[in-house]
Amino acid sequence: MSDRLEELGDNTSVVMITFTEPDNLDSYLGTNSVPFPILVDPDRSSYRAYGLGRGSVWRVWGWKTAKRYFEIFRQGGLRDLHRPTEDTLQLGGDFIVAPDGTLAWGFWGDGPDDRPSVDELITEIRRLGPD
Amino acid sequence: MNYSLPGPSVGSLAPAFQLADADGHQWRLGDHRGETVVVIFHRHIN
Repeated sequence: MSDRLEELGDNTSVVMITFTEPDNLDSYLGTNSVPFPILVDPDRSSYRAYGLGRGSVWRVWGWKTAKRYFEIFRQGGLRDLHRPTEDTLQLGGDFIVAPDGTLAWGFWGDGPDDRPSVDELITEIRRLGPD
Repeated sequence: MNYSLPGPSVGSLAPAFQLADADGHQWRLGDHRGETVVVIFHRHIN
């Protein structure tokens, strides 16, 4: 998304919301250049307002991940696993708010990798009409 | 599809929010009326 902002038109803003701790965000921003605001929502109230809850372990991580963990466990390699510092079950989403403040489009993710393509987002933004 | 919480429906008023960035600057959705706004709810950073 970052490298395609100019395709969105002059009258489109992008904002990202994260529930990460400020320290994590600082280190993330230290290694990633993000050309739009990143907002912090530690209590995730905006996530809930947009209908984004937590997924089930099975749904989020799936069979492949469970199998991999089992293999690591069997090989006694548990010390190689690092504990996630965030709630990995929190679902994400992507939304387009029209100029009149109404929700024009929404994508409610089912898991960590479930998100629309940038092309899909751009198509939906263009559907709202010219700037 | 989300199976855990009811969400807003397309065509309804987008839920308002006001949040701060890493520098403490407040950002309010309502300040951006007249613009198209893409709101990305991040999954997790690590």
